[in-house]
Amino acid sequence: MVLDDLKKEHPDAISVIRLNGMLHSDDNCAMKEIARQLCLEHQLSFSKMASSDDNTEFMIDMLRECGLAHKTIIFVLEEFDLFAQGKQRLLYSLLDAMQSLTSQAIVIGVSCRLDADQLLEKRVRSRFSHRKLIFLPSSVDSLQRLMEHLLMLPEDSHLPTKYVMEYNARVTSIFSDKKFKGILNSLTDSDATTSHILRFLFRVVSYMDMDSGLLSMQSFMNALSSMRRQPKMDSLQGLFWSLSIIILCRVGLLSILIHILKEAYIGLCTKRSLHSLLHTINRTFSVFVLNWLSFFVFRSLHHNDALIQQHHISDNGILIADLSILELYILVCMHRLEDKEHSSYNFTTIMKEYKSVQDAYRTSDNYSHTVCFRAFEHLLDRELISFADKKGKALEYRPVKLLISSHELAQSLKLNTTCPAVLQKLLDRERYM
Amino acid sequence: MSQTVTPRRTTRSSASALSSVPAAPKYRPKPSPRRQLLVTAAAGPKDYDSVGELLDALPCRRAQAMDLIRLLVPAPALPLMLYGGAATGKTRTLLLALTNLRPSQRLVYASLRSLPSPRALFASLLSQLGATSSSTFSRQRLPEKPSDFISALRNALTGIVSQGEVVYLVFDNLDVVRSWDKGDQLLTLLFRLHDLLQLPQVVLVYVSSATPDAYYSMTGSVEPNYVYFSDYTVDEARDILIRGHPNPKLYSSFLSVALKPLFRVTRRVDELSAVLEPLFNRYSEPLGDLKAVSDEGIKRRLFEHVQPHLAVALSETFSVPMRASMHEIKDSGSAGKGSAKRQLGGREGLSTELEFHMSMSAKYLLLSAFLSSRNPATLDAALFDSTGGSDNRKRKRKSSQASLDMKDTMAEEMLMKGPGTFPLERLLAIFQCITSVSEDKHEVECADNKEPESGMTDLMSDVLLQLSTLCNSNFLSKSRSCPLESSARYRSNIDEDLALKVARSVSFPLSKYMYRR
Repeated sequence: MVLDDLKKEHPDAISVIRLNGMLHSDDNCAMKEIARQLCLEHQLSFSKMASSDDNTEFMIDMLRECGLAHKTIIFVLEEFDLFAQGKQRLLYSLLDAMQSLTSQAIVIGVSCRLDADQLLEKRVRSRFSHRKLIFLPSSVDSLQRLMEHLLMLPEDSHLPTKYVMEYNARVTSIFSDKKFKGILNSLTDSDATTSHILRFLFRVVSYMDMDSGLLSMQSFMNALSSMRRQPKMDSLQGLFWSLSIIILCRVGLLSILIHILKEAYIGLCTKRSLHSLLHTINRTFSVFVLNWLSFFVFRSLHHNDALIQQHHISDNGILIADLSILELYILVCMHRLEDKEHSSYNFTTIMKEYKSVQDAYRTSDNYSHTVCFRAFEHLLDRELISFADKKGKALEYRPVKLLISSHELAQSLKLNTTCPAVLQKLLDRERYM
Repeated sequence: MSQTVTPRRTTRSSASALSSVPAAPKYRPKPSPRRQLLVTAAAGPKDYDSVGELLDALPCRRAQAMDLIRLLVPAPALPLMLYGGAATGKTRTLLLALTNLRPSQRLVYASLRSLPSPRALFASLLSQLGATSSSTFSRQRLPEKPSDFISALRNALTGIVSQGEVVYLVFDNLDVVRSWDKGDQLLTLLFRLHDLLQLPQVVLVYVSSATPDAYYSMTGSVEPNYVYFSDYTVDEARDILIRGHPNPKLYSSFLSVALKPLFRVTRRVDELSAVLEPLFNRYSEPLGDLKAVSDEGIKRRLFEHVQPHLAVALSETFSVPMRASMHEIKDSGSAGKGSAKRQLGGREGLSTELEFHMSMSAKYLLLSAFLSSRNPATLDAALFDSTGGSDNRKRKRKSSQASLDMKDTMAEEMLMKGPGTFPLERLLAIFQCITSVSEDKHEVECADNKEPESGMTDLMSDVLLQLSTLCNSNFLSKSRSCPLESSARYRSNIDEDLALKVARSVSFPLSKYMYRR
């Protein structure tokens, strides 16, 4: 956007070269691309057969010429961290070329990583000017303004004005509704990026009422529920934020705050990290603080309760609810082996456990070795279990491990309507043992 | 769903291109595609009849099909990902939806399971985009590097898009890319295509059997919209299997007895249909006329007829019909229920026949490989004495608790580690012992026979050839050779059942030689 404005202001003085780290991280590729774009800008013919050295020389010559002619060249390097892999020859040659007096150029790197400048080599970093602009994710208010801007129809469109006014009025009324605030909060709790909001808006529009052509609160609710991949993360993340901020503001442990913010920024808030956080709290703080925290937690949960209530199943839980009975048996046997503290187990040991369960309970689900192996392979395909070593012996003897937690397994056994009671009993009994 | 396409909707679609950019607040990433999305989303499916037909053609997938229609039909659409288990109808639903509802648009389909490398993928996509229009294309080199590919793709697509068409790029079986050589790079490239191409008229659709968690990456690419295809329930599976069957009534009564037990084993419709096919033939055998209306008595009779076969089918993954076994079962079926049950028990005996042919030397080689893998090397001297016979002395040992525990842990270890490796020399030594033993037996048996026995000693010449054949068929596998000795070590891959079958076919007393704990 800024570049477009600049180009309008000074039409002839700027030329832009765009490189992408994913495509052009190889030096030869990058040089070729630079030369090609330079040729395109200045209407020169580009020879594909030119070698990398030729291209480099060409680039340096062009820089000098443009410098003399008072034209600025702007190099935009997207996915900057991918350029910083390997030997960084391209970065070095680019930044080196900037150092000469006659060149008038600037290199702008764009990256998702906060520490992209730490990845640079010493000689490259010394030529770097260390100016960083950090773009923070937008606040909820600006997101709301963005949504309003995107969803409102412009007054001067070709559609009948009556329809436009009705549509805009409807949208404004939705935005001022309290439920909408709740929806927006639950959205931004998990992921506050604009792409996420865009996806949400796309879904809202797809749920538009076909008869009247108007949006309604129902379309927003439908869109939220169809993005239900996040809701479990929603409740956890919201909980996490409230917990962390409360603890740290009150107790003042700044280092933990920074660590948690970094983790939350990367977006990897998992249940395990939450548990570990609770453990550290338990160890270091007093019971009084804990009670207070639990009160806050309870309140924040209730706040999101109405929206999240129906959607508390994770993806894996849904997958497990879709499994056949034999596959469930195998999962439960693996879980029992883990509970018995077998550090590693493979298919033959699982079969042994399965046979012992069958002997103990005499169920009707006693199947042969080959059929169980096929069910085992189905589980591998669905990525609910995986091998623990890279490439080893025959499939039956390679160690495997479970990729789902016991909580997910227990929850989805309840969801599965055809699950035999034996399985539930097996799973519960080992909890109490 | 509305049938009437009011005039205002069509004009909305043409309004989008001219949306102007007002003075901007700080964050406004892509205003113009957003407006276009808004606008054409209301266009809706043009033809009501084809939607109904589409839903009829896709049984039990109504919700997913409606989702697809909703998310795909408006032309500039965000990328979409369909995920779900195998055989849940993802590809079929997608292709039917696209071809029926938007027949005029270009569909470029790439199934990554049938393409061996990224280069092949690039070539396939570019050729489907009609690069035949430029005759020089075939003379150009196929793009290998991602940058070349992206520029070639962009050129091809801009040509098409400028004529007003919408292009749908479908990438099927995305999960196999993860096991490719440079799979991660290719995956990030595919997911960033939306950003890299910057062409809103190109819609990307990804189909995968792995959940989206497998593709989560740290970089901020546009995440696709997700549509989940769940597995079928029992009723849905029944509906799908009955569709198109020439004899629905009979088949539905068959399914009501046969489907539920099989469903407990696997829920995949393709595997179920493969198992149900021969069972249905078995079921309808007693009925002379397939079209006959069946009442309760007949149903019961048919059920009793098929029940033993159902029990057998539950313990097999797939059945290879052998002429011998089919004869046996047919004969027994006519004899009545009791003998059928006996035959069922005896069918286990039938399956002890080896189902494929191997040469004698290969069988002996396989047996010696099995023994070498199974027995520890120290036992060889005891089992095979100098004449090649087995040592029949039984050793009595007092088994204390400690030794019992030790035996348990060793059994456990044996289960974990699997079959052991052995060097080639040991294999050949055991092979020689075994064949000399059986040679004696054969000489004794054919003593009356005037025909000269073409001696077993002739077998030694092509033992190594047989060995390589067994390795290629995966009965043996070569493991890493010991760095000190630098001799090849092998491992046997067959299980006890197959070894017993082979031994039975050459009348070799395998159980005497096997090490038991």
